[in-house]
Amino acid sequence: MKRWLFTTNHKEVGILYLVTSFYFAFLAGILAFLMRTQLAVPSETFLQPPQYNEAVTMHGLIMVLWFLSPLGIAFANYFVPLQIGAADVAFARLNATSYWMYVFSGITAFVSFFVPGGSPASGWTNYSPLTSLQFSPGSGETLGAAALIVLAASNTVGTVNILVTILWHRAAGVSFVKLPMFTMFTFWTMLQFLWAFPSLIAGLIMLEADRLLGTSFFTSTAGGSILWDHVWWFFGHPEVYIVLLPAFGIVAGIIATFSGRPVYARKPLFAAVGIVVLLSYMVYGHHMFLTGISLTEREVFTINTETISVPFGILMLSFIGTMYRGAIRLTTPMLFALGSVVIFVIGGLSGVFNSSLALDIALRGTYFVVAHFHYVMVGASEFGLFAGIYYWLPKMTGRMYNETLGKTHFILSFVGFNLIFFPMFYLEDMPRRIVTYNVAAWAPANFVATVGAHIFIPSQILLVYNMLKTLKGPPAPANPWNSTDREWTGGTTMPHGSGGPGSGLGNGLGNGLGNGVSHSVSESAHEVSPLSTRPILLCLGFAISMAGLAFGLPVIIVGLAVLAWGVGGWAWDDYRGKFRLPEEPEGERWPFSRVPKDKLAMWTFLGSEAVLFGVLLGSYAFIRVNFPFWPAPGVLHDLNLGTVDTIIVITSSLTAYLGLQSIKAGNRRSLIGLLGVTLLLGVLSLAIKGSEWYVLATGLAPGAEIGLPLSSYFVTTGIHGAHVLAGLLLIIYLMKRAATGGFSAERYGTVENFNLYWSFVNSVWLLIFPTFYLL
Amino acid sequence: MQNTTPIAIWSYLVVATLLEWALARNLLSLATIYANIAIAVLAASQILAVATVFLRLKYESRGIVGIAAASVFFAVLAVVLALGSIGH
Repeated sequence: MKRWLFTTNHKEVGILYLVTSFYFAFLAGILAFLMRTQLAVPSETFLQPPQYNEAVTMHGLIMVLWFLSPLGIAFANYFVPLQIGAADVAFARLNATSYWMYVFSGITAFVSFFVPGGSPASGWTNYSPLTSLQFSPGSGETLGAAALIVLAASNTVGTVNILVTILWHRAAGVSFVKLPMFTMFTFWTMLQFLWAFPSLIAGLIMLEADRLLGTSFFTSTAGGSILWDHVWWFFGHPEVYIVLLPAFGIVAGIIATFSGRPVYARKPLFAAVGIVVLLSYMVYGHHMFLTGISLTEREVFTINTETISVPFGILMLSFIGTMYRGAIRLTTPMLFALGSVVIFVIGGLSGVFNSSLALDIALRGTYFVVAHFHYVMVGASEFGLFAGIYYWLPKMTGRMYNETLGKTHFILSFVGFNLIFFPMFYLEDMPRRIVTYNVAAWAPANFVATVGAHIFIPSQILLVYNMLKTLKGPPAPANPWNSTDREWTGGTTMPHGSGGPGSGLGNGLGNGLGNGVSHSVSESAHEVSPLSTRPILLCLGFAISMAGLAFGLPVIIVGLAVLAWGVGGWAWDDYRGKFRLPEEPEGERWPFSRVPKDKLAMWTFLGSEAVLFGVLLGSYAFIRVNFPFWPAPGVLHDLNLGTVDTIIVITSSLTAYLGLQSIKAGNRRSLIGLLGVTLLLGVLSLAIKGSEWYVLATGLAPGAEIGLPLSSYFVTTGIHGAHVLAGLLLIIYLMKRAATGGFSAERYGTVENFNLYWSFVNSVWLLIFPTFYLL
Repeated sequence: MQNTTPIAIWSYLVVATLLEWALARNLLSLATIYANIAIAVLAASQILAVATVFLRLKYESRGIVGIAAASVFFAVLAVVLALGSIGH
């Protein structure tokens, strides 16, 4: 038990992710079961409207964010290091941290069922103004949003980790072009995580501010539902592909393996996925066709949405081309992979209708859309991920699963899934999200869909049973599928280096990696990650403090105390050098050959931060353009004070920079002194902001809604101030380490990373200052 | 230590901040629209200066510059798409 709680090993964390995601799928599946039972026949009263709304909302949120995405992350954890020849992920403790944040976020979300007013009930999209205090007065919505913030933080941490793993830990010979399919698709998916989730975090912070602090981002006409739609869908549409692409990476590899052929059109496929990632941020407006956004932008979104079908067409051609003239083996993984492709094609074709501005007017908000997104987002992903489970079960357990059970599971799932969702295409006049109906013409399709649910959902028990049975199944051969991917040619039980070229294990086909590489890292190296109590503690504290948003200040304080304990312990471990992993031999690191790993991680993290502040400032700009009564410069804010603060901020960047230069030159005392000056300047800057906040806040009547200009000011500068505060804590840590000889002319990476962070935070202020004070 | 560049950049940042302040207070007698454009240009140049020297993008590998550029692209995209929807 202790091992599972404190593990930092990538395989074990991967298994934890897998098991936990199944647990959440079980909970969300029950909700789906309840919903389909309610809709089986007209005028059913099995569920009351509030209960139905809660079931719809939580089913969608949990399935997408706590089951499908994490299942892909589970495989990424387990198999990306194996596929690229790394001993572990780049940052083992951070890996455990992202897992425990995920767990506690899910628990927080489920606790919302038991608070007065129930769980969030405004749909998985959390549409405004349904989420406002006026329409959702209970604390469930607050708790749900807090859970999502914790989850988004988990994903950000995990994203940085897996991206750095792929970019920096590839073994010699594993160039980008030779990345195995799953790793390649995971790489693109992580880029989507990186730039999509900050938008969600920004939106949720604004939502919580509206609900708890009296700001008015989403309750005003200047921001309101349209602003929420932008913020949500800038995250939400890429999320569709975040769920889909890891599954397709699995599918691509499986199709190659079970066709006995290399992946067809490998390079175009690589490019096509990249184009999908790029376009995924530019198509989201098709969710907003009926919201009254400008016609020009609607046309642009139509074109972009139709364009994205082209790279997906390349994916489908690649899959078909791989199978062409192949010696196809219809094993369970291959059946699920083919099922994923078939389901995606049906979903994709129906999506073309939805991309049309004209047709969307008729289809928006109907069960046609429900069918479409379940085919694309759920069916294609789920079948692909299930294919991965069967494909890799022998690798994970060292034993073979029951093929008959697997095929039975596939047949029941495929039939059940299509029975649920295909009839919904014929319900193109039935509004979604209604608790019941009394239209006789809708009854047959709904009944069939419910029958399908009663086949599909229980059939998943077969998967779980098969997985458990596998643990006592017959031993698996080292490479049961005759695959040429590294995770197999490394062998389930084989010693280090036995899967290289000439080992006789590969057949020269597979998914095209080609085995032109040698194993640089032993599989036994995957077992060495030490235990750490810090991640679980830190995450528990974070989740409790976020849950405190719904439960009150004492809970926040308790959470922050636990969080501080976790963070402090983590820093202490670092300080004492208690958590160390062996260095790996240098492999393929292009284009980051000369970039230290920690620095690459910092830059990746700052990439997501850039989008976070971009969305916050974009929200400000959106509101300001829509709000005709914006006060002139100098009315709300003291220009002189703001200017002084800005000069202080700029000066702190200089002192931090000079501190770095000092330690590079080996001058430790100078580093400590300059860090001290930076600390003082940072404190001074925060004090100035605090005084401005005090003046502005005390000018407000108690309980009054904060006007739009101050809403955006408080939230944007508040988040910036939190970043400054985190920087100040880092400075204290750095000074302590520097004082005990922790840095030298050769060892200054942490100081450099702090410098990057501090300069970035200060550069954001250089944008905030003119935006709020001068223009 | 090669501190000339950062100190020069710091000096520029301070001067630019003071210029922004002067423009906002209308001390340079520019029409509001021109003053606002000048403030925007100055702010952009400040951020560029910080990114180039204090964030050391000038000395970084193409990969790092790529991450930074792509992130800024998506941040700007979020703003542009939101603002582009205004106007019925």
